Amino acid sequence: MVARAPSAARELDDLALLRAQRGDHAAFRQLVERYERPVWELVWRLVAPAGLAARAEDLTQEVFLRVYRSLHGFDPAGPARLSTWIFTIATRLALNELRAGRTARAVDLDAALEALAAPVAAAPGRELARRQLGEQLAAAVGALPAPARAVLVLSDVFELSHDEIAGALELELGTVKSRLSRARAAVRAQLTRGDLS
Amino acid sequence: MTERDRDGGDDGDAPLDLSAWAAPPPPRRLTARVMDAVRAGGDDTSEVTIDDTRARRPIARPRWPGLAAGFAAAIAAAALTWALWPRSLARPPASGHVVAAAPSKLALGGGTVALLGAGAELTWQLDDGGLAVDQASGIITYQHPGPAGLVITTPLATVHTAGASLQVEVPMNKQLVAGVVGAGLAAAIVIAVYEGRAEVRQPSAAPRVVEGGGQVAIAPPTAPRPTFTPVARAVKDRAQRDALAAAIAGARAARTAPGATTASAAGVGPGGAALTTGPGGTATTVDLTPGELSKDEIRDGVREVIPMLTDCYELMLDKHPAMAGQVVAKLVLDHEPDLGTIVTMEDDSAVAMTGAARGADDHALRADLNDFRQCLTATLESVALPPLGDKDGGRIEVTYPFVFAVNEDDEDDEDDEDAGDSPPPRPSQRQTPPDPTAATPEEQLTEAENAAKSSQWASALKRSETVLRRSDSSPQVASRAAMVATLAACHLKSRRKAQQYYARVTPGAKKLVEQGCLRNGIEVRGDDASDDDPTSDIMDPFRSRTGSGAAPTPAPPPKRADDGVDIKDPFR
Repeated sequence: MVARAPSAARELDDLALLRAQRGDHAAFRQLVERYERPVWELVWRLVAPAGLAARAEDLTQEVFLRVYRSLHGFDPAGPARLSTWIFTIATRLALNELRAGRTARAVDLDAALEALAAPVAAAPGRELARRQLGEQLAAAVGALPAPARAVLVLSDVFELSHDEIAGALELELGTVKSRLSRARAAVRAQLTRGDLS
Repeated sequence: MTERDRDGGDDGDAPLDLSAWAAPPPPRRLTARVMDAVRAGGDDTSEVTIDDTRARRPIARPRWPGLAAGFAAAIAAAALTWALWPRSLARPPASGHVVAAAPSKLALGGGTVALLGAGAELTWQLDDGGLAVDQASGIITYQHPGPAGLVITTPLATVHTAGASLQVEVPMNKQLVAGVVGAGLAAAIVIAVYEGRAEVRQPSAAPRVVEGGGQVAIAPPTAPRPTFTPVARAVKDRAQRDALAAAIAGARAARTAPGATTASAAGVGPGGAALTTGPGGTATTVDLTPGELSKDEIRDGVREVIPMLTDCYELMLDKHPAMAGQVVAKLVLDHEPDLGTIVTMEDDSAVAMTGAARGADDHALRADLNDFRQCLTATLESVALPPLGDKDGGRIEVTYPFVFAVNEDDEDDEDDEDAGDSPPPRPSQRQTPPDPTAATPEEQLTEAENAAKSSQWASALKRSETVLRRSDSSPQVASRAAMVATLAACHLKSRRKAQQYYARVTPGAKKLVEQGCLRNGIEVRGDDASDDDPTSDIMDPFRSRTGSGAAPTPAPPPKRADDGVDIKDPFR
C-alpha cells in the first residue's frame, strides 16, 4: 500500500451548502474556496498532459459556474457526496475539452524546460529526484488515453470508489475496474522501463 | 465500499502513488474570477448539460434576501442546528470574545450554542439575569434552550428571546451607521427566527415580534452622521502620512463645526484643491462651497493619499515580498449638506493580488489581504474632496484602478550594467537574509516551473527571480531559473528583463530560449534593450508614464474612454 496524495476535499458544512443552494453568494464563495484546489488539480491533471494546461483555469471557472447553476438540484441526502458531484462535472468538462481536439498554444514551455533536464538530473538532492519522478509519472500518465487517465486520477489521486467513478463517467463497474487495472499496469510498465519503479 | 474494493483486488493492482506528480497551485485570483463570473452570468438559466441525475428531491432556490421566502430552508437549517446540538459539553466560560476565523461552534453557557460563520465577531456575558451577547459582525445561528433570557445586541437593534433558534446576520465591512444615502438593504441586519419567537427592539421604533419561520431586515437610519476614523490607525508611522491624516481630520472637524459650512480659507483658488497640507500637517484649508466635482478634483484628492496607499502596500510586502497586483476601487461619492463629500469604498471593490509568501497558509493570507483591504478602505475613505453639491445629483460613482508592484528600477539598472558578465544579481532592497528553514532553491525553482507550465507567467518570473537572487543556488539551478525567467519575461513582453536573464542561460539552451521568445515577438540577442516595463510602487492611472520617483507628476487631461476612471453621472 502506498501513500496517497492528500487531495481529497473535506466536504462543505451543511449550513453553508444550504445557503449556497438558496443563492447566497457568500456561501457559494465558501464552496468555491473549499473545492477550488482539488477541482483545479483534477482539471489540470486531465488536460495538462495534452498540452492544454493553459485551459485549466478557464475550465475550473466553468466547472464552478455549472455547479452554481445546478446546485439547487443537488440533494445532500442523496447517494453522492458534494465533492463527488463536483468532480463529476469537472471530469466531464475536461474530457469534453480533450475530445474537442484543441491543440496547445504555439509556445510550449514544457518542451523548452525538458531540454534542460540534463543539468537537473546531474544535480544531487532528494527534491530533484522527486521532481524527476514526477516528470516520469507525468509522462507515463499523460501517455494514457484521456478516459483511462480520468479513471486513474479519480481513483488514485482523488480516492473515488469504483462505484463513484462508474457513476461519474457513466461506465459499467466492470469497465471501470478493467480500465483502471490497465492504466495502472501501463504506468508501471513505463516507469519500469525508465528504471524508476 | 471497502478499502480493498477501492484499491483493487490484489497487490498487483494496488493504487499508484502519484503524489510526486504535483499539480501547480491554482491561480491566486481564481476564486475572485469565479465569483465575478457568477455575479455576471451565474444566474443564467441556460440548460446545464451535467446534472446530478441521482438527486431525488430538487430544492427550489428563492432569491436572498427575499424576506417572505425561504421558510422551508430556514426550518431545515433549524433542524440541522438541532442535529448539531452538542449533547455533552464541557462547562463553557461565562464570558468571552471571539472572532471566528472559520465556521465554528461555540458554547456560550447556559446551554446556549452559537454557530459562527467565518468572520463573525461576538462578545458574551452570562450571569443570573441570562445571557447577553454583543454581535459586532458576521452570521451567527443561536440555539437557546431557555428559560433564562438571551439578549443579542447588534449595531442597529437588540433581540430579546428565550428558548428559540434564530440566526442574526450583521453585514461585515459595511458602514451601518455611516449615513450613506442609498445604503438600504445592502447594509441591513437580518434576523431570522427558526423556532420560538424573538422581539426586536430599536431605539426609535416600536418593538417587533418575530415568530418562528419569520425574519426581519433592519436598515440603518437614513441620516446619521459618519464617525471619522483616523487613517493612521492601519498604516505605518511616517511623517507624511501623519501630516495628511492630521490635515484630513482637521478638515473633517472644520466641516462639522458650527458655522463652518461656508468657511473658505485663503490660498484656495476657485475650484482649486480642497485640502492642502503644510509643515507638520497643521495648515488646513477647506472650501466648502458646493459645486460641480470634476475628475481633476477627484484625482487630486486621491493623489493626496497615495503615500498612505503605498504604506498599505509596504505593510503587505513586509509579509509577502513578492506580492503584486491590481485593486479596482469602487468609490461612491455622496453629498452631505453639513459635511461635504463623503467617500465610501464599496465592498465589491476588486483586490487581485498574487505572489503570496511561501508557506503562508490560506488563513493567514486571507487575514493579510483583509488587512490590506481595510488599510486601503480607511485611506481612500479619508480622501477630502470639495462638496459635490446638487449639480451632480448628489451622488456619483467612480471606478479607480491602482496597480501595485515593487519598484525595481534601481535594481534593474544595476543588473543591466552587469548583465554581460552574468554575476549573481544584487540583493533586492526587500531581500531578507537567508533563512535556513525556508525553501531551498530547488523547491523555489520547482514552483517557478510549475507556474510557468500553467501559464502563470508573472508568478513564474517572480519566483525564478527569487532563485536568481539567492546566493546558495547551484549553477545548474541558476541557469534553469534564468531560462524560466527569460521565457516568462518574453511572455510578459518585457524585452529588458528577457535580455537581462537571457545572458545567464547556458549556451546549450540559448537557441531554444531564443526561439521561444521570438514566437512572442522578443529578440533577446539584440542590444537595443528598451525600458518597456515601467513599474512603480503605485501606478496612478492619471500619472505620467514618463515620470519617476515618488512624487506623481500630473498627466495631461485624461480622456474619458481610457483614463481609467469611469464617472457614472446620469445627469450629464
